[in-house]
Amino acid sequence: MMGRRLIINKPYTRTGPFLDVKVLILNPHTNQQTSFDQVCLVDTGFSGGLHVPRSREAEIRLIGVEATPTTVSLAGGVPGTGYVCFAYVQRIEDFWFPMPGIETELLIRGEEPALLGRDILKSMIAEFDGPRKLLSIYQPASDRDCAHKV
Amino acid sequence: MSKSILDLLEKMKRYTINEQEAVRLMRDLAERASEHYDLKPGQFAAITLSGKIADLADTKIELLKKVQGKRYREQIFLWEVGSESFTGWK
Repeated sequence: MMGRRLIINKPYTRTGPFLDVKVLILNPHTNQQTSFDQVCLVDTGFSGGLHVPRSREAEIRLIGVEATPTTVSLAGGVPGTGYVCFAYVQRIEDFWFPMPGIETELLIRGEEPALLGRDILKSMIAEFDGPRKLLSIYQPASDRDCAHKV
Repeated sequence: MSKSILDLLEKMKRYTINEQEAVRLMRDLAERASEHYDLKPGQFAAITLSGKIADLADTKIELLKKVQGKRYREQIFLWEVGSESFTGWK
């Protein structure tokens, strides 16, 4: 189709559309940083960027970043709590975004699976092909010049 | 501050408060701070447990960048003015 370019084409796993995401967290006061790879279920109901389990909190603390408490609307509108910090998404599958990556919110709460939400998808075109169990993500034409696939 | 806020803050000093109590504390503190400082719906605020505004921004990302790695004298929490929650399934 005109005006977009396929950047990710991934079959669903047995339990749904999962993507491998590389996340970078930076402490701007010390320039310390940490990064990790996280397999995330794509969840279009989640308005945030990334949702990772509490087990990630320790590695974030190592660079002097304390995630901040906040409120979270859970599925069904039930209120809950979580911890948030700022993060960059550097890579999804084998597609690298321009440095330093997509700016997003990282929500730390609960257990696996990690989730990738609408705040990441808002700059892309995502197609969920249910019958073929295939997730395709496209980059809009206007963004083509600023990212690369390796 | 209202008695319910003071009760929860007092309880926090001695015990762990549960998730619903934490939600209620943040919501009550945020509503009072929003009214007191005349914050506008859609603004994003870092609020202390004594109800002061520690940082304020027009976007969520801007606020998250402001608070990242910063040391505050008091515990803070993040809030979207005029919203029931900062993030989640909404």
